[in-house]
Amino acid sequence: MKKKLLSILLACAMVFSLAACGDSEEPGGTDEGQNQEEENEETPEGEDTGDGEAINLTAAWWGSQDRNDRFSNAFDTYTASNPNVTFEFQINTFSDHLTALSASAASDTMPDLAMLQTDYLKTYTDAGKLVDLTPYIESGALDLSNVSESVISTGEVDGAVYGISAGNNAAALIYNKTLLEENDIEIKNLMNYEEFMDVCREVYEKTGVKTQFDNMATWLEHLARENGTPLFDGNALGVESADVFLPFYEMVQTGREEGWLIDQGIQTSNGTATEEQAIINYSSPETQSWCSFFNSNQMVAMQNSAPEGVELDLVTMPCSDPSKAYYIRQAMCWTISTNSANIDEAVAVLNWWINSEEANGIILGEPGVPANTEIANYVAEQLDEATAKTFTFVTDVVTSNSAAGDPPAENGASQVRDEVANGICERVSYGELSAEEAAQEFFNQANEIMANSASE
Amino acid sequence: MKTAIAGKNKKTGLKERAYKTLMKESTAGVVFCLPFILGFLLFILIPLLLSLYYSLCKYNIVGEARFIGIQNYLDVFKDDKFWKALGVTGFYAVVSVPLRVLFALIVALLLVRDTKVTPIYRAMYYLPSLLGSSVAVAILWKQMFAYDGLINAIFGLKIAWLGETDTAIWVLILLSVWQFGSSMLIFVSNLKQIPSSLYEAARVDGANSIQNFFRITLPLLTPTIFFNLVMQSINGLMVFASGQIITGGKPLDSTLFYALYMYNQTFSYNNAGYGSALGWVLIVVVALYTAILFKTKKYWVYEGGL
Amino acid sequence: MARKKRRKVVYHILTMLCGFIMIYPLIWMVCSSLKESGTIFLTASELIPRNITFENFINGWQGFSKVTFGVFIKNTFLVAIIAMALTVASSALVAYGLARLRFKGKNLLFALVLLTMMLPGEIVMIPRYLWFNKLGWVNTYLPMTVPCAFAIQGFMVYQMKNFIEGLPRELNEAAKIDGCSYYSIFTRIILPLLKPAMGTVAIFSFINNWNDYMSPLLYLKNVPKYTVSLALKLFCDQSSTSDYGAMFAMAVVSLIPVILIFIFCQRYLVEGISTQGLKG
Repeated sequence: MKKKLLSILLACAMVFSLAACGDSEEPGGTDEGQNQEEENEETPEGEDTGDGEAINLTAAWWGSQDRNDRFSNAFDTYTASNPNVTFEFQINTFSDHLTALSASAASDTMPDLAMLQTDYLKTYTDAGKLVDLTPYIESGALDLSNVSESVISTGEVDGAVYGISAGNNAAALIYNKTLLEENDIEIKNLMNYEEFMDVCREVYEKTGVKTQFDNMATWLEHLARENGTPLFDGNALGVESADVFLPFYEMVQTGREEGWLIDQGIQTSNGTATEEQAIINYSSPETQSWCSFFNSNQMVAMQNSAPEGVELDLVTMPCSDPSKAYYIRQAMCWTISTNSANIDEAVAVLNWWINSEEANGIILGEPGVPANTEIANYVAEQLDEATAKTFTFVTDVVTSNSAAGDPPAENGASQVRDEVANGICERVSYGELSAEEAAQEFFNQANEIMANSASE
Repeated sequence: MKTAIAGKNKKTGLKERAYKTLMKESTAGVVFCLPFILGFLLFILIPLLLSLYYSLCKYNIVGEARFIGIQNYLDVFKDDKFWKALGVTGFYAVVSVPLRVLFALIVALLLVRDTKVTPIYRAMYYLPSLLGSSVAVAILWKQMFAYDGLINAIFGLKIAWLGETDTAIWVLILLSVWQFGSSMLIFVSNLKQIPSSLYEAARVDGANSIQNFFRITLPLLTPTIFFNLVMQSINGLMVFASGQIITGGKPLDSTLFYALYMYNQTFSYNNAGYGSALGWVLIVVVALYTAILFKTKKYWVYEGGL
Repeated sequence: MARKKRRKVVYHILTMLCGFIMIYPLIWMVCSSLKESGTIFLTASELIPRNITFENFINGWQGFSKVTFGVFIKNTFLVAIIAMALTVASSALVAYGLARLRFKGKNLLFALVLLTMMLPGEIVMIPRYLWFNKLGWVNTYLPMTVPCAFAIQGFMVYQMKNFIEGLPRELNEAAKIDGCSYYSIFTRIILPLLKPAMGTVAIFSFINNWNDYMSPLLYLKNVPKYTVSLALKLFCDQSSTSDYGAMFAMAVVSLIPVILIFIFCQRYLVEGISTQGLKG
């Protein structure tokens, strides 16, 4: 009887709550959200928030436990100096972060501060979900005077800045230094494809250890940039012909034919997490790779899970013209959502993230080199060995051998990078496609996806 | 004063009438079913209609939906990955479901007798199913079949189970078969309801236990087998978590489950309109599949069964 | 006699052996959680840890950004228990209506119940999310609990309906002659007899909600509100390092309530499941 009563009560409560909501169930109801948003945009100054007023900000990001600890500790110090500001955290794994974020964008309940990758920026800015930070930069509320123009530009959409780098990094070839030194194999920065393949062959001949490719989209992006075009240009690929991508696929095919390419089955079954990679997770030369292609900041996590006695180091990814191909990228960027009730305070937090020694002394370059060059120098003195290597790599090697990054790509780019680039390379490694077929296939599929996702 | 009394009378009359109506069987039926009626309207029908609308739109979740007619449905049938995912899921359901039901039946036959330790046995066999499609199990499974994982270590094999197109799907099928517990419980409870008088009569006629099984047990169980097949098939066609966490659809899309592809399109690639269209196609597929199963019912299901 | 005994021994050995194979992966997980995190996969084939350590449990329990795993467990318990109670109550009501009462549209309703079993959850995910957002339910536990009060899980209703149909009808008739209303028949006669089926549905519902992952992911927006399954997934981010030791340790911890519930309610599971027409 009690249970029945309970359920009837609940039913009544439901009906009541529905009545209170009126006719909001119609799909057209979303228009309201749009209007609110526009109002927000018209008043970029946001509400006036006096010092004493309690403000609660939600920050969302993805990542490891180490990152979670550092970030939340850093935010705590912000609360310590601004007692009226408290934080809530929304932490998920990368793909879940995107799922949760798109759902909350749809309902205008986005976290005040959200971490994004630049590939996803366009989707959100097109829908008007992110705050244009340009006025704040101009007014000095967000001080980017020590951040290089080329870094800022990678968070720019149509001339307005939406994303601020949470840390800079660059694509890298991470290698097993111990293994190469033991076998007297030389490796250097700025190798071209031939030099790189020679190293692969040498390692394979001397030790039986194989080579694993990763970060497929970056290889292709480098080729496009060397060709003088961005990988993505509007709703299509930037390049005119599939041949541009051929060198990469030829390399994979050569590796397969000569035997130094790691068995694709092993690579696939290892998975994609950093500590599952064959460079540090192996039981025999067959299952081992001497190198790995990830973003520079990820070497730290890899070094932490490497077997004892194995030292990792990093050099630039092979390419024929690094000064054209390479660029400093934002590992991830902070964005502020237009539905935030405290945009001013969120901007203040970003400003603090970029310019505070205290904050960066806790974060210690976990998401990459701080965008602010002075802060980067300050932090550089306090780093552990592995992180220090990644800093040197980004600031000394890449900075002097790179061009500006391309603006964020259109919606669809993430699918191309994630699904198409990886899928097609996989098929080459399994021997299903020849290099020529692969290049053509990538060219066709990528163009098709980009064209399909054109929003208007 | 008079009117007040009259009003009162009228009120009690109304009350009485309302009471009478409430007590009628047809009203009571609706009252009891009210939670479901409301729930269906609020939490199923409205979202369902919305998703039907989205399936006719270009919709990336983040922005506004834009009506484009049946374009998404036309795209679905031109999409190679759709056919691939459909094939993979169909294969998975067709192979794993009968195996799962078969195992459940065999184990149920083993566990139907009541000894002191039977509850412990039942717990042992049911335990894997308790974990359902939880994250922990998916990761456990992935690690067991890793190249350096438990399975290869035990049997001294060198197979990249999750890296080969012809083995990866079997790893997921095995996971599904491993979790046969709920079907098993249903079988056990039904086996217990078979009157022992039937077996006694058969024994008098000189039937052995194998004959008993095929002449009494199996026919009586056919409705339960049918129920399990239908339920498990529906679940099988909608399989999602194991594909997402263990293989991510790899290698070469050989484990790209339909629901996973739908999810990826919706959330990873922000094509929610297309994802909804995929969802509606799946609903039709599930309905057809179920209808076909029901059509076969009259050929092998014993109506007088349990 | 000797033959019978031999058969019995063979039966027990066989059942035990197969049972052991069934739960071997779980035993492996428990043992792995006691190994040092770095050695789990290097020593995958060894069951017994070389050095037993509780480091993983300590690390795992710390949780994320100062929210301990205890909080996640508490949250999940809250959601799972409430959802379970509501599911049981509402499913029982609806099941009775569908099983015993005659009214217009009953067949249609039953068809709709069956339909809910055939719906892929992913398809209503986004619309439902937007809808709950309108109600202001995002970042609360309401989306995971309130719908349970409306018997929309077809499988649960179906189970109970079958069970009620299996109960002898004569009781009904007798009660009616005694002047009982349909409501009091339900509370006085059906409910007490329905206990085993309610137990079954309770277990299924508890386990489903305990393991549920997608709803918490969509609806819960800050760490102190997270549930266990969401927290477990956080231990293994694909784009950065995973702590498998801690993950296994907390997975083991998260299984304890489920296993306890099962052990206490095992009895109901077998009794409570029933398909049509038994004892007929």
